[in-house]
Amino acid sequence: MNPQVELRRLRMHFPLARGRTVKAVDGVDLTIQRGETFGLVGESGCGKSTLGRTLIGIYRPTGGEVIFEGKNTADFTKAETRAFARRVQIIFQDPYASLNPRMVVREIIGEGLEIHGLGTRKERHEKVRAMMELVGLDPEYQNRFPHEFSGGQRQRIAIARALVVNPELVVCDEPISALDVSIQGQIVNLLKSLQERIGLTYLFVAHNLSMVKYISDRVGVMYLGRLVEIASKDELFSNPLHPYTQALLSSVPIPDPKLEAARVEKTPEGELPSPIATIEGCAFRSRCPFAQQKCRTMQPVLTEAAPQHLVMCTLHGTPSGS
Amino acid sequence: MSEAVGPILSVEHLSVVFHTYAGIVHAVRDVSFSLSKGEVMAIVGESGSGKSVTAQAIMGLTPVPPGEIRSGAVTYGGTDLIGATPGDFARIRGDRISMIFQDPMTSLNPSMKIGTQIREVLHQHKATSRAESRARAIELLRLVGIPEPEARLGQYPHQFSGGMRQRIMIAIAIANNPDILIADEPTTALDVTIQSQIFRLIREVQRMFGTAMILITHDLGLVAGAADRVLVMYGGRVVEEGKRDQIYYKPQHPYTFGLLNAVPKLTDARDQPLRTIEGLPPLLIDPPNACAFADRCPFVMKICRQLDPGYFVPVPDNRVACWLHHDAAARQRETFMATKATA
Repeated sequence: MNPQVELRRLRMHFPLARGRTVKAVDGVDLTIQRGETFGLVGESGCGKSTLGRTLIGIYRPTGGEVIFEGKNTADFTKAETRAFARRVQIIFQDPYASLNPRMVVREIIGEGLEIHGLGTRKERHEKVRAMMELVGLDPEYQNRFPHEFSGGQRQRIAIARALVVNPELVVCDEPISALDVSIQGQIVNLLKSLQERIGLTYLFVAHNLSMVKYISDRVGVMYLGRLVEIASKDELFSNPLHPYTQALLSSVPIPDPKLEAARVEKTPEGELPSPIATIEGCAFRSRCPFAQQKCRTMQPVLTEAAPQHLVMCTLHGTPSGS
Repeated sequence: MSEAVGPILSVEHLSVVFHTYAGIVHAVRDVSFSLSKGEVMAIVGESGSGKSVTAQAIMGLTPVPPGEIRSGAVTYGGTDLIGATPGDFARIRGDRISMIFQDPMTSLNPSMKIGTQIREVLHQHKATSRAESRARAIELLRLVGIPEPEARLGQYPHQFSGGMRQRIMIAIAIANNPDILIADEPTTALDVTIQSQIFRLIREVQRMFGTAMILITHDLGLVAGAADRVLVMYGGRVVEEGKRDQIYYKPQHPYTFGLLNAVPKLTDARDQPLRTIEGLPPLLIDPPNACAFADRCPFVMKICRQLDPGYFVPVPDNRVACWLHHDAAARQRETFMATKATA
C-alpha cells in the first residue's frame, strides 16, 4: 500500500450569518492510493465537490488533516506549498466557465508552466504542442480562443491545462456532466488512457453512477458531508450495504426496457435535510426505511463490515457512541 | 395503441431556422410525426439535435426573431397551430397542451406566490371563483405530493427545493387536464433520488388522466421505462422512429445504435474501453442535403455524403433515414448487422 493522500477527520464548515454554519464536509476519513481512481458519488449538496477542493488546498480545512505523500499539508513550507500547487490539479465541470475567454489555448495550457517556471520559453512551447496532441487537439489550433471550440474540445483543453505541469493527483470534478452522451465516452476514455500512460491518481467526483462505476477502482458514497460507504467498485455496486447507497443505486433508470421494467426502486421518500441543521445521530435516518431508535442517538462510525468494505450505519457493525 | 382514434397532434414537414451572426442555423429540418391519444412518445437526441426547438414550435414559443418557422404544419384538433394567432395560442396553451420545463427555477415567476401562479392558469381558461380556484390549487398541490398545501400556497418559489418546485410546475401543467403534456428534460436538473420521485409522479398523472405525452430527454433510461414510441433526432432531422422495444433491441440507424452503445450500463460488468461515437455533431449552418451523420458513421458509403436518404421501412412500424437499407447496400448493411450482433 502506497498512499498518495490521506484525509483524517477532515472538516470544511462554511460560516453563515447569525452563527450558523454549512457543514459541507463533516469528518471524512479517506486514503487514496497512488495510481488509483477513487470515485466519489452523492447528490448535489452532499459535499463531494467541497471535499475535492479542500483536498487540493483551494479551501483551508476548518478541521482535520490532509496528509499528502506522508506529510501534513498544514506543515508545508512555502516551497512545499508551491510544489503542492503543481502536484495536485483539478478539472472542473463546466468547460464554458473554467477557461478564460480572453486567453488563447496556448496561453491557457502554458500558464501553469510559466507560473511554476518550468522549462525555457522554447521548451514550454514544445510542451504545449505535445500536450495538445496528447489530448487529441490539433496543435494548429493553439492560437484560438475557447469559444471557437465545442464543449468536448474545451474539456480536452482543461485536461491539457491540468496535466501539462506533470501532476500526481488530479481531482476530476464532474468532468463530463456538461457534455453530451456521445462525447462523455470520449473524455472518459481519454482520462483513462492518460492515467495508464502517466500513472496519475484520480479523485473522480460525479453523480453519474454508471460512469463512476466504469472509471473507478474504489467508490465512496457521500451523504450530508459524510462518507457513508467505501468499497471496491464491484463490491459496492453488487453488494451495497448502506440503505442510502442501496436507494441511490436503485434509483437509476436502466437504458434497456426489459431490465428497466424489472428494476425495483428503493427511492427514499423526502429530500436531503439542510446541511445547516445540526443532526443528532445518523444523517440519513429521516429518509431511511430501516431507521430505529438507536439511529437517533448514536452517531455511527465508518466500520469495516466486510473486507475492504467500510460502511457508516448502525445496521452494520457496532457504532461507538461518540 | 390507438390506430383507430387517429392522431391528436400531427407535425408535418416542420422546418425552423435561426438567424445568427454566423449564418442561418437550420435547427429543425423537415420533421414529421404524429401523436395518438394517451400515447407517450419520446424524442431523444443530443444537444443541438433540434428536439427542444421542435417542442417550442408546437407550443408557439419559437423566439421570432431570431427564429423563423420556414415551413410545415402542426395540427391539433383540426387547427393549424403554425398559423395560429397569439390569441388562439393563449386559449390552447396551458389548457389543452401544456409543458413542463427543465429548470423550475427559471420557469416559475420568482416574485409571485405559488398559489397565485397555479390559480392564474385556472382563471385564464375557465370562469372560476376565487374560492373554487383556491380549493383546486390545494387539491393539485396535494396530488403532486406537497405537504401542507394550504400553508404553502402563500409561499414564493425560492422557499421550495428544486424537487418541490418541479412538483409545482407539474401541478400547473396538469391544472386543466390537458390532452397533451410536453415534458422537456423534466428531471435533468434534479438529483437521482429526486428525479426518480418526480418522474414517477409525471407517469402517475399522465396515466391517471390519459394524457398524451411528448417526453424530450437525453436519458435513455427514462425512455426505456416510459415510452411507447421513440423518435431519434440528429442534426435537426428525425433519423429513426419506431416502437420502443424495436429501437432498443433492433436499432436500424447507426446513430441510434451508437447512442445506445455509448451509455455504460450499471449492469455492465466488463471492463472494456467505452464505446463512443467519434467526431462531433454537425454544424447546422448550411447543412448538406445528405446524411448529417455521415462524418461520424462507421458504416459510411459514398452515397451518404451525396444524397439525402429519405426514409426506409426495414422493419414494421419503423422509419429510418439511412442508406444502409437501400437494396444496393446489402453488403455494407450486413457489416452493420454483424457489428450489432457482437455488441
